Amino acid sequence: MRMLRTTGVIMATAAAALLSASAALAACDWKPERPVTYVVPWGAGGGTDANSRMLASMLEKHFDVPFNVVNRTGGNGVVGHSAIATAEPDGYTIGAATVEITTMHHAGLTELNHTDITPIALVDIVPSSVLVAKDSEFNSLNDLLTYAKANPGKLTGSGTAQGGIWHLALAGMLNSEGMDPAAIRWVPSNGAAAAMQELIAGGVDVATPALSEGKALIESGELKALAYMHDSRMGALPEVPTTKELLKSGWTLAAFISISGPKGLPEEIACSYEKAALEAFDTQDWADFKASRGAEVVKMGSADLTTMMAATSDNLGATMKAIGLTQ
Amino acid sequence: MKLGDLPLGLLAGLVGLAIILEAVSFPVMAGMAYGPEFFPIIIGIGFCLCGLVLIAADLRARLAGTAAPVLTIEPALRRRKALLRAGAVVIGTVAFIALVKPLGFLLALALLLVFLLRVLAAGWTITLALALGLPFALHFGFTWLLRVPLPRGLIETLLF
Amino acid sequence: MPEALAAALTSVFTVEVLLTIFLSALYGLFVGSIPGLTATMSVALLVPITFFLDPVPAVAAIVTTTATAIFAGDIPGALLRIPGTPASAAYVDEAFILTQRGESEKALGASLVTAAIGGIIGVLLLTLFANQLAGVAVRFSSMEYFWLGCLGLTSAVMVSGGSVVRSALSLLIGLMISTVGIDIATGHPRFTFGEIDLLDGVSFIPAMIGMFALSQVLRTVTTDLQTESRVAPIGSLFGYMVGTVRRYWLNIMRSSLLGNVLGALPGAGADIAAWIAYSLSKRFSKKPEKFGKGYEEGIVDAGSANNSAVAGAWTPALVFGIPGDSVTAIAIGVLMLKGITPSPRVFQTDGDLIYAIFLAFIIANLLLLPLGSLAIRLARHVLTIPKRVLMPLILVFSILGAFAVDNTTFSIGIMLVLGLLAYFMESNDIPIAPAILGIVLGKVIEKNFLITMIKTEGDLLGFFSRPIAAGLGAVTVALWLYLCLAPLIRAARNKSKRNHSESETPS
Repeated sequence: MRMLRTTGVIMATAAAALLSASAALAACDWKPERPVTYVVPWGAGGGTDANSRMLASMLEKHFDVPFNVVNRTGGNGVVGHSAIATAEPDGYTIGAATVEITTMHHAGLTELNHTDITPIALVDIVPSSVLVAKDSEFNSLNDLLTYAKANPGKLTGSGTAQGGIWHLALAGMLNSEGMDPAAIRWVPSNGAAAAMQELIAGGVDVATPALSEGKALIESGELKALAYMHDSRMGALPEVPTTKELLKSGWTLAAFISISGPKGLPEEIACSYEKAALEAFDTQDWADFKASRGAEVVKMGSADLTTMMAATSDNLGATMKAIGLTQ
Repeated sequence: MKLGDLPLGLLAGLVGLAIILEAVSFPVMAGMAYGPEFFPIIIGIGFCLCGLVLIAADLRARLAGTAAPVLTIEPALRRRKALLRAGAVVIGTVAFIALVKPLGFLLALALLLVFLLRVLAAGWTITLALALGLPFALHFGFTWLLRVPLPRGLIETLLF
Repeated sequence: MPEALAAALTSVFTVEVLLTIFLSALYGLFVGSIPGLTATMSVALLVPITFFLDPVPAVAAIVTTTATAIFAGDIPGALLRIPGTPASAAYVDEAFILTQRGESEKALGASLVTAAIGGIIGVLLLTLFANQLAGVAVRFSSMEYFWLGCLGLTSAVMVSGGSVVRSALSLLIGLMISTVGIDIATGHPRFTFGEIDLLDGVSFIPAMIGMFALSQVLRTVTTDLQTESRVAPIGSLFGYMVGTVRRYWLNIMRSSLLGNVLGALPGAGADIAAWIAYSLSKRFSKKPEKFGKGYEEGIVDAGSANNSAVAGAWTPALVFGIPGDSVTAIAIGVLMLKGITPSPRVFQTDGDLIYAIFLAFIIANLLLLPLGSLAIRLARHVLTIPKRVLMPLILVFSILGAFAVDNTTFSIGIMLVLGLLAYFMESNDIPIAPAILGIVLGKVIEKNFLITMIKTEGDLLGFFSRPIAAGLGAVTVALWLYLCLAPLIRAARNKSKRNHSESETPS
């Protein structure tokens, strides 16, 4: 069995989550009586989709009603998140709110933010990475940053849409190292897979998707991982150094996937889902699933997730302002 | 409804102009010659060009005395019954969109089926059979087998 | 390889795996034949189930479902003019005209047999050349995709019959629709009228259902509600399919190869493949004048291309872990769950599993022949329903299909608006097919154009800066020149001929 290897903040909050979760377990025995709609703001085949479908199938077993996963894509996440937030808070619509719920209001895409949903539990922490092609001249993050500093605007990077979370990862890292956030110019793409294709094809020089998204290509030797934007190394790829070790600023950036309900979801319903989700995270099936994706099991309940979302919104908001992505 | 080349050309030109007008209001990217407005403007120009070609063809035909009429209504659409049926398809769909949330899928679909089948003069037996049977069959298939959630209403709440 | 193959044989020919394949085939046929339910959706529904299966049956379930669902999408397309996938939109009109003539079995028979053969050829190519093909496919960056999109568009212009202005107008309408939504370069919402549901653009499947099916319903209720649909049995469906293969084997080979290569390109592979195959079919046909009037040759080519593309999409998925389409994106997750990590050495490291997948693919395509024939025979009865009952049913399925794709009533509205637009277009002799192609390719072309411009900082020569891009670009530009110059040359030649003959005529 893979051990929970995350340290620091996550470990502490996870432990706290367990405590607070068990404290609230008392009356949490609401059960859905008919099919539940599980909204995923991103496309089928992505990490959010995979995690959510897995969790949905486990909730389905737990509650013994169908959990219908619906992919509501579009508008860089706005469409799906607003579908979750504005649904009837009766427990029959829940969804996978992701890190974008804390950033898109800063970007001026929408008014919608993390206070418009009811966070239930944390499903996954998805730290970013710095990837280059196998034949790239750069062999370390230091090489890359030194070159970018000396030749601003010469290199290009990709990973997601303009202003998306992986754009934030790259520009935020450059900014925190005292460089121009545009020293590596951002080339928008439709998601991480398209960006890594560009990287292999030589269309861009760097990509900063989640390390878990690049895992297969790193293991097959097509891509080199220069850094993992997290405070501890990934269990599945222990040779990739973290930005915390490499950078003076100790910059890290992780996206997250949650299970959340609409605003005003009654406490009884929310804690029933929280209980069911945390139970699911304890199973061997879930551990195996996580291991297959190179990710680690995280456990965080509603209370701490709410705090974390607020903190993330403030932190990323400040970063977005510093790199000129706010409106 | 068939337009002659002249009005069709004018319509295409107007659409083209509208697209271009909207497109020039898009924000430009700093230091970029091509931004979000670039393709819409090309498409708008394309519409205008097509419009001009159509107008020119119409004028040439007019000079030769062979121009098509400005507007022809196909014989099918001149019959009141046909118009009514086409209207029923459109109105039925619009009504379904408006009613499916408040009434729920089962009732809205049953009403739509009764309305359309009666307008198209299908027999009462088949109408009632379909209106009573099909919504349930589809509801079962979509929500339970295919996992597509459908809007719920009174009947769904009473039954499931 | 022989040992791996032997191991694969023993792992596939078990009751569990064969039963999984059989059930998945039925499931794929069923889901695929319901308009609006896509192959992607049917595979996504399978994911939780595959978790509890062994690796071979798990992946076999996915490949079987995809292969059968893609064919099944042709059934409502041919019978009711409700195309199931963008890839089958290329020949939906051809098949529907055949149906209106009472020859629905011809259309579906051709589509079925080419689906099966295209699929098998696709798998064989995948087995033999996966590494080489994937090596080329991942060399494609935004520049190459831009040219590929242009090439697709150009080939469509080359085959469009009728008035050039009206085809161009149709194409422009499609391109215009494709620009709706958030712009990739700046994130600015364009032509959305403040609608959140339009941020992602006009949803493609509702648009397609509206333009083909709804416009047809409108036309039927206003014109020929009385006439009975004719269903002329063509005798032995099997005999017809054998005949089709014998007659068009060259087309099938050519288009399967093309479909497989284009399908391997991550992105719009299968869609572009079907359209290019269709246009090449007309170009090289001995009877190009029959195209667009209900002729099976176009169906043969496009049908084999899009099914071969399904296998092609697995190439970059297995070799690099880069999904060729949304189905393989889901499949990669399942592969990794089963401990198979995609890599160029996957044939050595997980050879027995990979060959088992290929075998399952082949069995699925073989199984498609009897099951598909049965489906065709059953589906034909739909046409015996009187039109005054059938039309409301088509409308109901169109509404449900549009709704199911994004789970929003907004999509029903899109279907209605574009249905009315298509009705108006057809009334004015403006063809629908170019508009559909415009919607498919508009996004590909614009997105890759802007991405390239961002990369090169606005240098247009960038489009020729890489070898494959330069090659594709040169072909495209040559085609454009040919398209522009050929009519001029022809006109000049006619003129001189006329002058010549005039001077010879005694005055």
